[in-house]
Amino acid sequence: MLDSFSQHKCIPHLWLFWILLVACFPVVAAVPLLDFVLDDIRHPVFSIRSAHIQLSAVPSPTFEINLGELAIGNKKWHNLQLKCDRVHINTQLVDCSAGHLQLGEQTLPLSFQLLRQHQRFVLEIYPQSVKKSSGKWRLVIDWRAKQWRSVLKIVNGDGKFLANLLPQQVEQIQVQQAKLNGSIRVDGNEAAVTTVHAQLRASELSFNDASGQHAGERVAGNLDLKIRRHNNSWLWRSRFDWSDGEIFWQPFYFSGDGHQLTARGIVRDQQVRVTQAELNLTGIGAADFSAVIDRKNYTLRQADFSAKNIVLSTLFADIVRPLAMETALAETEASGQVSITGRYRKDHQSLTLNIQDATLVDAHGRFAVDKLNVYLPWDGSERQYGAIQFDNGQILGVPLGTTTLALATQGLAIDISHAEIPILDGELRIRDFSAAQHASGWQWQFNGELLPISMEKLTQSLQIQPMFGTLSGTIPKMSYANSVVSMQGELVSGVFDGVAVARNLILTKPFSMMPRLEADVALHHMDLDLLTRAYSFGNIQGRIDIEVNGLELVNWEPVRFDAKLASSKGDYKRRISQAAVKNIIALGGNSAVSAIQSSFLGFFDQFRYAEIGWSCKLRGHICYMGGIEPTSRDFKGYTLIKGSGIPAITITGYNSEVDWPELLKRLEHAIETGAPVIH
Amino acid sequence: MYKRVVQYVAIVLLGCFLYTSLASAADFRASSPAIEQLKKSIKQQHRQLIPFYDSGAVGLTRDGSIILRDANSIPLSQRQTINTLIAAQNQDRNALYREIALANDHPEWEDDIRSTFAQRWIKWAKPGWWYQQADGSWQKK
Repeated sequence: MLDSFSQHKCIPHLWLFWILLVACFPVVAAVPLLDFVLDDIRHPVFSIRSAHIQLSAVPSPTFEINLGELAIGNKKWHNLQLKCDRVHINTQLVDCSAGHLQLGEQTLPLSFQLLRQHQRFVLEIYPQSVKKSSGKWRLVIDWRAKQWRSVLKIVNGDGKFLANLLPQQVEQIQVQQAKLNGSIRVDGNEAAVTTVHAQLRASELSFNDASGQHAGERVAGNLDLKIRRHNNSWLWRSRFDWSDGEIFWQPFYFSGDGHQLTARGIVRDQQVRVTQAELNLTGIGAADFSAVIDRKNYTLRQADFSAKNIVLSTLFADIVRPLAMETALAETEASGQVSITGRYRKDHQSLTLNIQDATLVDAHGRFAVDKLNVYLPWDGSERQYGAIQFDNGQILGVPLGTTTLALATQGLAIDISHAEIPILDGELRIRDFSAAQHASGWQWQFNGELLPISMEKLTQSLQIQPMFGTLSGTIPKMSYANSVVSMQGELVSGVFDGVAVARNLILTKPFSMMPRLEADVALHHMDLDLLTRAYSFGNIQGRIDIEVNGLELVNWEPVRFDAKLASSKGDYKRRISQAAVKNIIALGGNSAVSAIQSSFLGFFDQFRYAEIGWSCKLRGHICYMGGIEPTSRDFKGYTLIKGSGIPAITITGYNSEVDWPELLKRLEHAIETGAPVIH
Repeated sequence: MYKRVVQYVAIVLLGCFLYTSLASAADFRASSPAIEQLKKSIKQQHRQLIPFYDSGAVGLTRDGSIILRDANSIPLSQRQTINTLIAAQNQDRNALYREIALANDHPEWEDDIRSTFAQRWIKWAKPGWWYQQADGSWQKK
């Protein structure tokens, strides 16, 4: 726009037009008194191509101007027609009391006066809005020998009318309605514009695009803009207050609550420089910034910004969460404060994030941190050092203790050489953690070790069946990429006086609605006495080995595995109580007790056995069961417990396919009541 | 009260639909912890989506998903919520079709399951809801 304010020569001079009008009027004739075409009119503010001016006196004085093209700044309009049906012209005055301006499909009633003595031009337009509002646009231009001044006053102006004047594309924002009040004053000399002062209030502004993803309703605000020419530069300052209404700009939603933007700067050569600006968002805080924008292609050349003591809760709700809809932060509540400073240059960028005493809580209870303090410096090229510290937290219900992490950033990468995170009564030691952003998203990896954690406390925290012993292990490499956490190496835990080993651990989308865990688990030499006591299942004495290969949990529920349970090798006491026998029979569905009649069961509290064996291939919700061996050639039954000595008991299962959820229900019932339900 | 009854009936219908559609074929497995979790999630989201189906803002597509037909009919403060809800519903529906195929050890069935579901969703839609016809045009039920 300001390009048009540079010096041009005005051809022809406006006075030529005046002389022609006066010389030809008033005369009565049957033909037009004045009819001529001007091909090219250029002025510092506007330019006109193909101006056809016609003045007639019959049957009544009429005056008509047709413009092929009118350009003001970068905006162009084609085929404009100004027609005056009642015009009065003399040596001092051109008075059009009833005319209209044709702008495309729009017809605008107007009147204008050209006063020679006062050197003034007055134009009044009364746009016919849909609501037939009494809006008025009044333009007054005064000129002297070397200076001119124009004032546009808008009273209840229809903003939609103004928007429709501007060339629009279908996909662009469409103004549905708006009311404008205020004035725009422009002063200049024969060479160019010297000052611009706009004081405007917009109210009842509603706009939207076709998709509805960018829209505003009942928006109200004030704009005060001053521009002053100084040598070859333009000094400007502005203030915008957004007082009412709401705006949705996918994915952000804001309501006008007194947000304010003040800015000042300079326009010189091909640059718009914002020397000082402050954005004040009610409920969030204030940010200061400065910038240099290239006017040729409207690109940012440099910028500096600083926002201190921003309210984290509002920042999270209004800005962070909408941007993080598909991440673990999507439903996170936050409190505390954050400060951000940043610097942008074409060849160098930097950012420093400072979070003070924050609390982050996931709405689903998946994670939380309290008293979080973060100092995170980042530089596009140089290595920077920061720290993350929190008093306590939890992941999936497992408590974390006070933790301090020293970190380094370089480009889009974060490194932590070592860290210790207390977990319950144990500790996760992290070594050589590195995270980096790739085309597919963030990826990270580390190695480390898990110092012994009480299984009892861990299972209590996870709210799963209690286990006893400790969990510990060495992690040669744990990595995350494409929403998948995978672990190389083995996690070893001591449970029920035995050893549990987890291998090939893969966790997909851990914080989604459907986390999926895959692993191979082996438990060696577990003490059945401890195990059955823990679950009140009925006592069994002995040792077992369990292998669960291809374990797949979806949302922490098993959907697939190949499990095999067998008595451990070695010499140890092998006994099973009557209650445990009944529970096993109940779990197996239709089973038979062989060798000893059921009526004899009541005489003995315990039985001897030689071997225990059970297998389950879970596919979907069906458990395909088996035992130590088939009981006959037709494979219709399988031995679950092989008896030995006196009294001995052998338990045979005949159900080769069992509904897994039903089996779990029976198991829970057996554990809760000690009295199995036999179907 | 009326709205609650309507919502309740719609949820029951959806439940019946899911049950019948998942258990209609012989030897066809349509239950697993993953599927149950997805069904639960889809039902929860569905309760929130009903007003938007009723208003015509959201419609059922021919490929078993849902889409925002008319964002401008939704209050500005709710537009991001509905965007998120639609994304979550479509994510769960896609996962449901995939999980049912996997539960039957036939991943290649996913497209057939999707098209079957697409027809069922439309069949069980309430009068007044919008759905996409085979040629892509929209029809009010």
